[in-house]
Amino acid sequence: MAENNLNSPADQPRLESERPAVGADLIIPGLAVAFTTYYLIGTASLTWEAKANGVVVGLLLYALVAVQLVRIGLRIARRETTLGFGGLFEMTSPQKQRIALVVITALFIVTLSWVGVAIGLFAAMFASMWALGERDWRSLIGVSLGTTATVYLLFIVFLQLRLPRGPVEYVIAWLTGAGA
Amino acid sequence: MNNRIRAVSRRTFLGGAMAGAGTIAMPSLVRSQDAYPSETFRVVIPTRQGGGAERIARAFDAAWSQLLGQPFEYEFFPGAAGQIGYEVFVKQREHNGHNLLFGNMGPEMIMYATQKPDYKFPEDYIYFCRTDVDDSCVFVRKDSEFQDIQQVVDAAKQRALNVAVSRIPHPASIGILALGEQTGGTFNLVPYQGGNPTQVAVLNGEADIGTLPIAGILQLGDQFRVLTVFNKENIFAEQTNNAPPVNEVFGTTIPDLYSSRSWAVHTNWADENPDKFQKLVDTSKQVFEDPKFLEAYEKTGAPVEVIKYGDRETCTEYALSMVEFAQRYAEILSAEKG
Amino acid sequence: MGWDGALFVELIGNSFQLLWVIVPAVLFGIVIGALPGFSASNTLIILLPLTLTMDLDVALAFMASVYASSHLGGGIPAILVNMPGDGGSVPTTFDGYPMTLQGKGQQALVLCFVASTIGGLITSLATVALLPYLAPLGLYLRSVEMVVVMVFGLVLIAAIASDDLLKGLIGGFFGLMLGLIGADHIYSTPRGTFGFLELYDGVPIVAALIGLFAIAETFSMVEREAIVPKSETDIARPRWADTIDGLRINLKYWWQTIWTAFLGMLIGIVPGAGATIASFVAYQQSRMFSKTPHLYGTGHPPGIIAPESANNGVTSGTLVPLMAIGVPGGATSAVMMVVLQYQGIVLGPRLFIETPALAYGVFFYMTMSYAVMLLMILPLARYMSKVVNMPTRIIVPLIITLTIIGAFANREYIFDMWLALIFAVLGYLALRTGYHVTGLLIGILLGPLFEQYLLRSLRLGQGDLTILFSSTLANILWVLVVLSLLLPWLRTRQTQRALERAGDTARSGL
Repeated sequence: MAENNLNSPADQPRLESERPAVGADLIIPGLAVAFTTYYLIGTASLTWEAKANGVVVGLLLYALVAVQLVRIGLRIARRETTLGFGGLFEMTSPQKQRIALVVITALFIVTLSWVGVAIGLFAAMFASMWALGERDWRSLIGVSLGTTATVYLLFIVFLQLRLPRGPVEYVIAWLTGAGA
Repeated sequence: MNNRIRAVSRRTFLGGAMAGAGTIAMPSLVRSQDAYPSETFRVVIPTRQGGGAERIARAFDAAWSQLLGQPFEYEFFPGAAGQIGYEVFVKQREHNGHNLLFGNMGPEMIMYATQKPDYKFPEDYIYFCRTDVDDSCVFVRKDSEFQDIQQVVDAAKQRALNVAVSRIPHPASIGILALGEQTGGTFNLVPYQGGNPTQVAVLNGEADIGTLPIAGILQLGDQFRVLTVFNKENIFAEQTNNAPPVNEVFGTTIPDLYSSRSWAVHTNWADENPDKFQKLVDTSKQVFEDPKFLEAYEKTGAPVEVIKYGDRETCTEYALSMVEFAQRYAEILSAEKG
Repeated sequence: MGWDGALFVELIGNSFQLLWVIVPAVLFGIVIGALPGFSASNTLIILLPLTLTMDLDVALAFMASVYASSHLGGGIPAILVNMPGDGGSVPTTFDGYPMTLQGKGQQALVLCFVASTIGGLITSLATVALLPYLAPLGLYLRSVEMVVVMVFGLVLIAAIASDDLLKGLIGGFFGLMLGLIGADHIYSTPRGTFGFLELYDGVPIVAALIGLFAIAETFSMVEREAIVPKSETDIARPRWADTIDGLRINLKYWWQTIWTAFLGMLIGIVPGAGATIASFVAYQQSRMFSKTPHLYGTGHPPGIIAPESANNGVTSGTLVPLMAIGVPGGATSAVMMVVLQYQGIVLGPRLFIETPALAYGVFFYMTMSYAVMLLMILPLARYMSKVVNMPTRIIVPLIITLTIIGAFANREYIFDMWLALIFAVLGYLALRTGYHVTGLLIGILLGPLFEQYLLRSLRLGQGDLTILFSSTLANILWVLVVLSLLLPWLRTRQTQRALERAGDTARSGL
């Protein structure tokens, strides 16, 4: 175990096939540089106190990225690596599932204000499980329904979270309101 | 550390799950639109949980909620010197008379003048019920070397004194700046983003002196010594060992600088619903004669003498005067250069 | 001081009499802590109308129990599904989740529970004993000293990135940069917000940690059948053996538990500092003094014990300034202050003379709640740890939907749900390309705090940078920072040399 120096819990051993291609290694530095530049331009007109940290951190970040670029450049020059993206964007089955999850979650957030949390959550749970390969109807419906009911009772009724309401919430409110 | 607090109160909690579910969506479906108020008041407070505004708001609501027949819920948005709270109030809350704001007009109007946010006063919201006049004061910790304000100013002529303040855009901060300007002392403002942390900075000695509204200082009683107030008279002379008003000591012409909290509502709602608005105004005024309010306020340990009603006109006048002040000191109060 | 044997007996009696409220409050607090997006402070605000109507003793016992147990609850999802409930339980994921992946989820939970409760117990008892002396202690750690305390947390960025320092630093600095989003600390001018009002207050921590940790991790989980496939845990039925094993490990690191708890308490006493800082610093310190720093991050027990013990040490510490000075040290104690003031209690030094039963009582209730927690939660560890055997096709959708709602829960902005999703994609990309998500998150969490204390110190120094070295305490802390960078490096080199030497001897022996 001692040899396995995984320092982040989230670190996954990378696939061997990814190693030679380092194009993907430039995504995070690219985003970092883009954001830093936006930040520095936006704060240029402020007094030093409002931008000092940004300037110091930003310049150091530029320097670190520059070193990384040089390092990658050297490795390419030595033909140790290519500028491809390796397996990162390969359309494997898990990759399709990941994209499906992101799309479903995005749809859930977009529609939440109209359909309310009950319908939205049920649909998102159902669709996500389906996308991940669950085909047993009892699990699909049971888990989705169970989650929705738990969230409704715990978050909305008990903890009084102002989650967006939709038809289901209004009907329940109307029913219980009329009953009370 | 996390101050992004979502705050809600007076919500039914143990009323049973079903009853709870019932009350949630009722307002928009079941209850009549004509009766006012017909649902819980939702209040935006643009300062921190546990601060001076909450102290007054909760005491006020002890009486007001009974006069109005509806409870109050609070949400706190202390970020960006209160700007977030105001923007949320103007842009994200329904303009239906059930959404109110309870703010500290002084610092928040100064913020309005310096940050130029995306809303307009008094076009978007109006203050209609001032609750207090809380004079700014200069204070030190009990064992401080400074016995009176004269010693402070003398020291400030020798070296720049560090002054703990709640926010740079604040009447108290303007007061100490004006004092420096008129006496030749140098005061270096250090903002601590709230009254409580400001008090700690004076207690732990990292700031030489502090300047804040006086009520919160008196509440902590014997740990501080008040040296002066920014007003014509010191109404707390007895509790502050006869600390003199600032102009009396130096012959300066510093205007009265106080914090005043006030209730606010959306302007267009008030204009379109004069009867309902009048009900808010009348009941809020009534609160000042209600012993429940004063009792609840007294319990917090803060001095009742600061409680003073002010109507819409008084509030608007005060608010606009703060904008004027801020413009005079714009350069020191804002991060924008030039 | 108003402190005598009779009072002691009375308070112990009171704590037992209040068990009826402490037990449900503890359960409730654990659930709240485990749910991402909910925290003791925002829940206690919701429940304020209820607590305001309670007797003061009951209300205090209730709030103290919810607060204390929520800190323990946060560790559960952090360990099992890499989903920290708040900033304070982030370091728990560093070693807790790897332990889960190794099939030792149950031991990890036991470590967390015992460290939390013991840490909480001894510090709340210590607070009772030392209360009048503790209050001034918090006043020694001022802005300048807090800058150094923040640096302790920040050096973790470099420390955990030992496999590729450059990438780790880029991730960390990117995080620091993102942490600078929001209104500046002096003039309140918004910076780098893309015009979003929702970012004026900085990057919302809950959305960032939910996205970077919990959801990003689910994108990797889909490649597996379960977080830990059943075949890798030797026995499917819950059993006591692993719980006992966990207890054994706890015992082995008893000293670790104690000193990190006191570290947490000290940081808690400083008004404004809190569980996030405490648990990061405790993790960093534990790693620094360890003989095996390279094991941290691989599922090393002290890596769970240190942050958990520390963030529970914070709970009693944070009440000290409230009671002794009358100034709340954090969001939860601000809620408590509202209740105390509502009942007409005047806080501050006089409290201990005038109403000692009340001043000390709250710490007795907290002690009791920790005792209750230990007895209640330990037997549950063996059931909880089974979550990791659930098929990913069910648990992944559950984690995503619940955390997305958790992202909303904290501030009730739909915007925060989007932000969590964006951070999830960012986190996944960082994960796959070897840039540390942890470094990124440390930057986002500690960056704003560091900036705040630093700017304040610079203001106090009136432009003179030497203010950062102006106090003895700060200078001692600076030396410790340097040591904490050097020590693990020296230790690792030493070990490597020893290994090489051993290798040489072995080879020459052949």
